[in-house]
Amino acid sequence: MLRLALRFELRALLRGRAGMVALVAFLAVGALAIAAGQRHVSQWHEAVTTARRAQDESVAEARRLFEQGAAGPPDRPWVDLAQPGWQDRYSSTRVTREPGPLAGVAAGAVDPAPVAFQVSGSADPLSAGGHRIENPELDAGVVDLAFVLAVLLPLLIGVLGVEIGGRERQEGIERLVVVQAGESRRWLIARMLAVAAIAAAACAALCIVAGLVGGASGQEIATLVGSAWVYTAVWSGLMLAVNAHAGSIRDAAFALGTVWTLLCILLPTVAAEVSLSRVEADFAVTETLGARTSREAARQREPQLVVRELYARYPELERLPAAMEDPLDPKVGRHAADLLLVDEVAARHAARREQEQRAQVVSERAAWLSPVVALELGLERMAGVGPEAASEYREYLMQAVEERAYWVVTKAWTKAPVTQDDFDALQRAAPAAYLPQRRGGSTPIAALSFWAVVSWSFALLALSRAERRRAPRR
Amino acid sequence: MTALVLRLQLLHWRRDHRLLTLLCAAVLVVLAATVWATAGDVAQRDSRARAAHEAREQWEGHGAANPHKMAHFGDFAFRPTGPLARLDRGVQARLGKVVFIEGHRQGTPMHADVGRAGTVARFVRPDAAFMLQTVVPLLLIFLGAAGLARDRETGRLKLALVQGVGARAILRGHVLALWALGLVFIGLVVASSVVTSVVLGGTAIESPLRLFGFVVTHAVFLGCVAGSIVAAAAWQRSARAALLTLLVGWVVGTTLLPRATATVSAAVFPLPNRDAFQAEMRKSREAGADGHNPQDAEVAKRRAAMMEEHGVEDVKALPFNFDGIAMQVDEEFGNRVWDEHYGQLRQQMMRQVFVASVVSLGNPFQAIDHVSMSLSGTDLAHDLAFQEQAEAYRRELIARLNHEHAYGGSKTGEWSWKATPEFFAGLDAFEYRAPSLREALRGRLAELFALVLWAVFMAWAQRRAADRLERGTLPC
Repeated sequence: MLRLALRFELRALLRGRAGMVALVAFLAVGALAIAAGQRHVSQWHEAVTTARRAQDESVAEARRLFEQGAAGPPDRPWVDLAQPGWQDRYSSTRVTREPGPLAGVAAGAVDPAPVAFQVSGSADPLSAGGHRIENPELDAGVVDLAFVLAVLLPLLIGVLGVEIGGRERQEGIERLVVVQAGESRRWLIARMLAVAAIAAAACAALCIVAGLVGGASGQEIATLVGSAWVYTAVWSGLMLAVNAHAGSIRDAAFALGTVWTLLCILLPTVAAEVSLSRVEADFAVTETLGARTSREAARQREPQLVVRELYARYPELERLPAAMEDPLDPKVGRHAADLLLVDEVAARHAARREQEQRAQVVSERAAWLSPVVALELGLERMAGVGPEAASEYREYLMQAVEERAYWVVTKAWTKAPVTQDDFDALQRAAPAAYLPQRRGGSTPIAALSFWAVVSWSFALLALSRAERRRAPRR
Repeated sequence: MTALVLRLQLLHWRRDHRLLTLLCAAVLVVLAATVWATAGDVAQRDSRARAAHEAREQWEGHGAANPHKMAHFGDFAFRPTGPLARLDRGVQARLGKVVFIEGHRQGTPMHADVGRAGTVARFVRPDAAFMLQTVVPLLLIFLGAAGLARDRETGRLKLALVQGVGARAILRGHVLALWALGLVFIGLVVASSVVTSVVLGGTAIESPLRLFGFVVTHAVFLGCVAGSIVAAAAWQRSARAALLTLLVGWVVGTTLLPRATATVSAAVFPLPNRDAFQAEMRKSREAGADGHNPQDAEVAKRRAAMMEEHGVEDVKALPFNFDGIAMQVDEEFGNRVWDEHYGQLRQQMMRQVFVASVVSLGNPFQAIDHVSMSLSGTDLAHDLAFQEQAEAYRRELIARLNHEHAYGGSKTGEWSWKATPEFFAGLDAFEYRAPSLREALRGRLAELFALVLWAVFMAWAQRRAADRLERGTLPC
């Protein structure tokens, strides 16, 4: 029967204008979304290249100065590359974030971290914004593949499947179907499966193209296609449930419109409201006024107190040559406050990360309420973009900053002038480019599977109830 | 007859339990969203005021300091919410909320809400404007698409026409019923927002003129929506066709077209990536004066000129502190660089907005969204106004600090010299002045024109439908 239904739906698709227009429009918008996603990825690559070029120029300048035996550029007499602080600055270490092969899929995701960051002993990863300069009036709505799948796919299924059941009832051929097929339920399920197959094929085509264009592996493409198929199952189940209840095509369209509006528009906006209202009254006072206060306080503290605190946190420094001097060389001592300040930056960073993780819990819970949120979350994780990826990258940067600040202090405490070998070693020890972590998409996949199971169970139940209701009484 | 149709329609909504339930639910949702958004806005204003107060206390409480040290100590400008942000939050969640005011560089707004609110932050927030621009039209579509169809299906329309009732009067009655419902929603939104704000200790009406504009433009928009629903119901042969046409229009107008516009305008007028933009700016900046570098050519030239003017051989012999002058030379060059680069960036952004404005001529949903944001003070233009004012404040503050550094009583090289706490306390704090209504709407003339155009078009479509109904060329 499934084969018969598939033939029937394909014929209806070829003959009916609305279905064909919807399918072609879906594929066309999907293709545009893939192109827009690739544009985003190429801008990302461009940003990474710009950063690397800047680093190379700075390193080349430092090497030239080493070769010339100069402490610094002639017009900057205060620069001394024999000091660890200046080597730190001239190494100009850029820690880049490479786009994953599926990064273009969720190009419209909110991603507040940069893609290249200059790590130094006094850098603050929280002070860097995203790599895109965004026009906020346009940024609220970008067409990416995530949007096409999450929002437009249900509409495609709606256009293709709205007639299922309603037309049979409207035209009075339901009885004929029962006579010919034994029961109408199997015929309706077969028709819906046929529609789902057409929609799934369209999704798969888009996902495969997006994966191939981005250079994704077979496994990554399969995961992407799998997620899209589960989502197709969710909406075909919902469509079937709606059709089982609807007495006419008009009722079905009305009901599906309501379900789509609720799941694709209203519930995600409520989730956004819950999440955003938690932070809207937060003017980042800790990161701004608090940070300035602690910076000022650290600079005004007695050097002995600063050094004592430093040794309490890093006892190994007490064994280095600078620690034997009394009083401590002020040139060396000023790095102590910097290291302690980096610790404070790390503490603020950890607090921000905790805030971001709490916000992500709202998104994960919302995934159970709306399959749209579940799919968006899943695609963001696959693409390695979005708030979670940004937060992880900043954590990676923070570790690099801490290590660099510690390097500066330990080198200063050794009291030996740093050389070109140290500079080269610093270059070699620079953190590798950050690659998006492959996170387990357990919550989104579980939520989507839950929605698929629930929608189909509900649809099957509704179909049998409708059949019992419509069966002639003996 | 118009009044009779209007009354009949209202009576039908009241008598149909399903419709009444839908209406009550919609009212509750709209009220809840408005109250919640208003409460959030009041809390945000309080929080912003506290932050600004704390920043000022830190500034004034700093004590005696070298003026240039204070230029690096800096100040913070906290972005205020728009005058009607409680009704339409616009793009506020995407904007940085804090600008660091510091010597040598123009600050960029940081700490946007969306960056801290997780994946769901990419979705729109439900506030009063969202309800009036998206949910209420949908409700009117569901209520109105069946209205005329019912008259047609029951034969009431034919009977009325046969009895000599004008089709225009009938259609007008249907439009007025839908429009009246829309106006009730506007009234509810405004009243609940004002009451919530007063109860929570906020101001009742911050900008009456803007509020009036908000009410009028939304009334016109909902009039267009009501008109289009009745026109579609009259032109289409069945309620199903009318409903589907309107739903497709709603989906395209609210969801697809705005995103397509964003994608197209970003492709046509691309913005540079942040790294490239900053690299360009750094390059331009490095080509000019550096106040911290005594060997800088520009600074040296100015120093020589000053020494010649005062007839001294040593810079320390000048009757003022040349370091303050050097810092101001540095600032002025930097300002020119920022003006050039940020000017180009803003021009590009405004070009993108212009594309959206042009598209809104064909999409009233986009038109009302843009006008509403401008009236509420939560659009890009208001954000740019905030950034410009914050930058003007920075330039004024740094110029006065440099002036004090130069002429406050110290000599060149005296970096340990300190200005009095009274001097710092006497410098004005940052204060934001929202652009006037005229300034706010200057960039939205296309959208205002679009709303008027749509209203006229809908009136024309109805007249034509009425004429055709009377002539019998449309089914009745």
